[in-house]
Amino acid sequence: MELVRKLDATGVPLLLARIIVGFTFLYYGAEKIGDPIPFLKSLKGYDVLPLHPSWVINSLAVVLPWVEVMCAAALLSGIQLRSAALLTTVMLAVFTPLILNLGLSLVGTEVAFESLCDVVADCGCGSGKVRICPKLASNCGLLALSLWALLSRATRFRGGLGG
Amino acid sequence: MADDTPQVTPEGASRCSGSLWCGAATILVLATVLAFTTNSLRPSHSIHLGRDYFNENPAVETDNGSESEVSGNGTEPDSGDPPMVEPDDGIQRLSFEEARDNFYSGEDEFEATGESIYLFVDARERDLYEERHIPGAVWLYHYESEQLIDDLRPELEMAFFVIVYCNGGDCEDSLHLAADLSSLYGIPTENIYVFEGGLNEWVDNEMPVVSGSERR
Repeated sequence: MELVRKLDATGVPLLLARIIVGFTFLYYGAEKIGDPIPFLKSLKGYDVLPLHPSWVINSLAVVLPWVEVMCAAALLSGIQLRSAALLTTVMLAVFTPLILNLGLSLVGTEVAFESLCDVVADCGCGSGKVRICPKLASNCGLLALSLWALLSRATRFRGGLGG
Repeated sequence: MADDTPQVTPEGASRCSGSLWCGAATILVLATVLAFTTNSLRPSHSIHLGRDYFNENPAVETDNGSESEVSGNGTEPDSGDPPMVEPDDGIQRLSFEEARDNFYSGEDEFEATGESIYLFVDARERDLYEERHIPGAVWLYHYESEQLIDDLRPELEMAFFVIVYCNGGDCEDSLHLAADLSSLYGIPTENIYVFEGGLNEWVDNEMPVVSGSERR
């Protein structure tokens, strides 16, 4: 634990977490804002949200990409850094199991989908159809980085990226 | 965590800027305002918040004038006899062979008279339609159908066989558009069919396709 504290005190892991999570959320959020329809279809594909009343799922498809972009802006600018890290952590903690569930539900539905790691699907992440296993691994990494940004006590690299 | 508790007093208002939960709430509120504002202002790709994009049940007029969902084996069309494939949700399906036969009948009729009672409807995005589509198919993107329907309504109302397709596979947009054509836009349910194999099955069977925005 002492090693982790010393590493955290350097501020470098926090800086890396802010940059990686920030730019990832900025990219995927902007993609979804550009065309929210595929994201709406993906939300429906998770099969966990009620389709009626329709404004619930429609509103989420409109708002969530902007939450991603606002979180990205906060992480990169350092304004409301921990709050943004809290929100990215919650989003990743919710969507990662949903992606796993989506992947598992598709195993065996096509000849090529023999196992979870063979499944290719659009998880609504903003990157079109992707292999589920690498997507889950990348999400777990982002989740760990978000948690670091949320819990870090480092005083360096907490403000603007230059400071 | 006590420091993170939101404060509502004037004295606490300034402390809210440093609070975890107040900060999260601020981000959510800002994002929501921006999201709804841009969604209402954008000319395309906007989401109509009240619209049911995943409608699956077409509605038809019953004898007493009230609306009800189609059930059972659907209704046989007045003209021709395209077989139907066990619909269980009120939407009539066409197999590839049936879609192909209707396509050739429609093309022959179009060549002879310049009109056809067969109308293929492409429910996919514009760039996919322009990449390739079934010859003669009109473009009616399901998620922007409200803006597109008026121009196509005369043809849709004239056709006896409105055959809706998308990519096939796990694509469901053709089913949702078929339901909307009936329940939202008043096209007779008995005239609407879905070719579930979609463009993928069409291409796999080496059927003709055309590119660009022109129908043929």
